[in-house]
Amino acid sequence: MESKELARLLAKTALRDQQAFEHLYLLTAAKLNGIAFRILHNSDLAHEVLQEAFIQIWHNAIEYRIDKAEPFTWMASIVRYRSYDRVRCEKRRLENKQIQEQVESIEQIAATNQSTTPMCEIDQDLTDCLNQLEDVHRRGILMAYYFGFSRDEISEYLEKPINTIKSWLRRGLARLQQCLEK
Amino acid sequence: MSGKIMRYQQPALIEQLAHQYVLGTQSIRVRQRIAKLRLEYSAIDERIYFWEQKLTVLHDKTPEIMPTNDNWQAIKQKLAFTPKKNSAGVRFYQWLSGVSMACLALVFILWWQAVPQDNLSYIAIMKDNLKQPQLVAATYGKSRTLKIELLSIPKVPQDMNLELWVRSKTDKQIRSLGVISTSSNIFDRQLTEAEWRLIKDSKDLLLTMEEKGGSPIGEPMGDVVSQGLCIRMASWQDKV
Repeated sequence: MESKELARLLAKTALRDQQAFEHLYLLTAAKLNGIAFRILHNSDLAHEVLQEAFIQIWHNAIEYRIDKAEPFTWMASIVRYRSYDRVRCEKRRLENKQIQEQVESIEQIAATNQSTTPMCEIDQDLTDCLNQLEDVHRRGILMAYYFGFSRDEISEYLEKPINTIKSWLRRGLARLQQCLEK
Repeated sequence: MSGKIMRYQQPALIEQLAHQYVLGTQSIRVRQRIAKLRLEYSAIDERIYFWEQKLTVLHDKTPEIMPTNDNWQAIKQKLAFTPKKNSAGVRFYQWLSGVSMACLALVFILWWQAVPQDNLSYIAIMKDNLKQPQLVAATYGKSRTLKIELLSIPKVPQDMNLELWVRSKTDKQIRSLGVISTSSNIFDRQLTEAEWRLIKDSKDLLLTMEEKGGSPIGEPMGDVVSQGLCIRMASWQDKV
């Protein structure tokens, strides 16, 4: 996806150009739906969230600030936040097996010594910095961001008090930031 | 300064709120609260954007899942978009306009190839007091052109003019870019070197209602009709 093209389409959407908005949908819906599905694990819910997100994008396109965020980041954030809210609202309870599968995929993503892991293809700086974190910090960050786990769920899965989880997330991101700013 | 304001200026708290928000680990109620706070406190907003941008690459490898076809129809229905007319009567018209558009496109392509390319440098989408987009001001770097597009033309009394202003980022002073015509929706104007420098240093643009010929004192006297932030188009594009 070309950022300039998405920015152009968002600008036209802000001016109530329905064709541009449809084009924007065609370019991004599959990826955004993938993000919603990863958090919600349910196609119908992911579709609902995608619809709500695009309605929000239509109404809020005028608020998009090209100097603050890349267009896809802005749109993906809308989808993520709506998905997180939906997960909390539905009080999702994942089966142990599902949690296990997800955590295993996180382990795979964050593996440090395999050059073919997906993370290594994503962004070297972020990969390097994530891999420098303590395992529990990295795992907590990815469980929350990637799959929408709440602090309660992370606490339950990792069998640690919620305050410990809060502290891990805070310290993990602080170290990630220090590393990224080097 | 109140305690509440002081509280939301503490870097540790700002960082904590941004972390929670971007990771989505908080309750819906707390999320809504932070969403409101980011509108009030730009430092919180900045940190949320920072983390969103840093972590977004994690989704680069998220598999695409094509939504079902009726998803787009549902969005259109919820937004009450006007359906495209498809009766036999309009098909010929559509064909004719299609041919016209193709001709226009051909002319445009030939013209585009003939003239040197000029990149959009700055853009401001200016909103009226009801927060509706009213005017788009765009500048093009190579040709030093200001292009104004009026999306809705405000009522201007005969003895008045609309005047465009630019507010400087560095000294916060407001300086005039001159009165603008409302006789057509779109028009171009050549910028002087001094005006171009103003654009390069601009924070936002304002449109005010002034007496005929523009404000006599060189600063806005009348009501602000619309305003909008001036965005440099090359900012993140330079990074990618």
